Amino acid sequence: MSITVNTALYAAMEKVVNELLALDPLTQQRLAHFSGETLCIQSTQPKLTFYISFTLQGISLHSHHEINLTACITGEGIHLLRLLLHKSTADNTLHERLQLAGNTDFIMAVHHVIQESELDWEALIAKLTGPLLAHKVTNGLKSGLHWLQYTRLTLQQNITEYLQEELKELPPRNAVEIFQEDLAQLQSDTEQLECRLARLQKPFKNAPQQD
Amino acid sequence: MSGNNKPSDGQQNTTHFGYQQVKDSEKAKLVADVFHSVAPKYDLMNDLMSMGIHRIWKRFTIELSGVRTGNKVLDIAGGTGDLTLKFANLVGVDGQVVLADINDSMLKVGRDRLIDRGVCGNVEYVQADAEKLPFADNTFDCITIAFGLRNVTHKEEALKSMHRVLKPGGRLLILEFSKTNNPIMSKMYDTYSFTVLPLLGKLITRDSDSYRYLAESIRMHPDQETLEQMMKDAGFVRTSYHNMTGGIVALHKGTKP
Repeated sequence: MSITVNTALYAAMEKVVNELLALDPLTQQRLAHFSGETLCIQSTQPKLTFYISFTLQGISLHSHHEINLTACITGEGIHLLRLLLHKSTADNTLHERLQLAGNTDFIMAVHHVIQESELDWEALIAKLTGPLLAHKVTNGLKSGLHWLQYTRLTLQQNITEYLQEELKELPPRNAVEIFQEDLAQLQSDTEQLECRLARLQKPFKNAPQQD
Repeated sequence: MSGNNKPSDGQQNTTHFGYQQVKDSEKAKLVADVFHSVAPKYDLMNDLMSMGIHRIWKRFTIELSGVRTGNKVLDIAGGTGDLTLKFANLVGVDGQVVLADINDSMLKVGRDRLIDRGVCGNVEYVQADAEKLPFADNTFDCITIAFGLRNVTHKEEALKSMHRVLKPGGRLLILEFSKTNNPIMSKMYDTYSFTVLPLLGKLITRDSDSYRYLAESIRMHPDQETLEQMMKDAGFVRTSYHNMTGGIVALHKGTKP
């Protein structure tokens, strides 16, 4: 994407987030404590890197950062989004699916503030469209996101089933596990046999040779 | 390649002023007249001419500046203070931003605008020639010049002067119109520059000549590679440039070793 388009998109996103923060002064105030710190967000799928700098007025989003970073979160886009949107699963996501680097205390503190925030997207959209349409839009977005997650999960399950049951290209998980156990047993038995053979050969090697 | 022609015996140095060749000594006055004329409507014209995109180009310049709390920044040809406004927030109360412009009309507009926006305390205003910057050696952490270098008579002198006042490790950022390699875009850009810009100038500032000069001066400005070489010749290292909007504008970056 060209630098101009990229920078314009970040500027627009920054404006939206800062307007949202303005509707939630408590979160704005709590985030202002991180003023001067910069968080790098690296999405591996889709490939995207951006930086969030915290200021007294809110945040600043940018595609380039030339000075020291405070911390960095790396992971797939979907998990980064879950971290932002789903309060109940956020902790598990943070630990299992994402890689953290730098000052992790800072990441946890920012995450905690976001979890406790009451960002009112609906109020922001309502300023542009009126409350009725805003409610419909946010409801649509919520159900769209839910549908995307459900579809992703179903697709993953169906592909697994198709490859294992229909095409027989991949063995089922339990068959692989049994095979692994058998293999481990065989390896152990072979090692034991090798030891016994070595022990049996020992007296012959040490016996005096007769002409 | 600054466009200056060396004098033969008994002749004075000449340089370009748009497509005209003028004496070196006359260019500064002619450029000053252009900016005296456009200063009151400069911001409005910038928004109209670039369709607001100049704000995005400047935003990217800020991103690459790496300016942080406590830094000293020099914004040369700072005009109405777009960059200074952002830098003043970034450097905080412990830092300092110097808004410099050779043109007092532009400087007054910039100063009034910044004061109206509550920016004071860490910003100073200096009327200065980019070729002879009135600052001690190794003073600034970062120097920017946005859409100003093409109006400077001796660009090499200006680059050397910037190099002198930068601290070792400090960076220079030059945001300037440049050359696009896309033939279709180039054609559209030419048409826009030589028809729409003078017309807008005539309608808004009642001065089409100044905006004709703007279009001509862009064509006379060194291309990306040439400007990068000029920066290297002035002593900058780790030079690079980023083309924006298809190369219509380029941001050059260099570091003082």
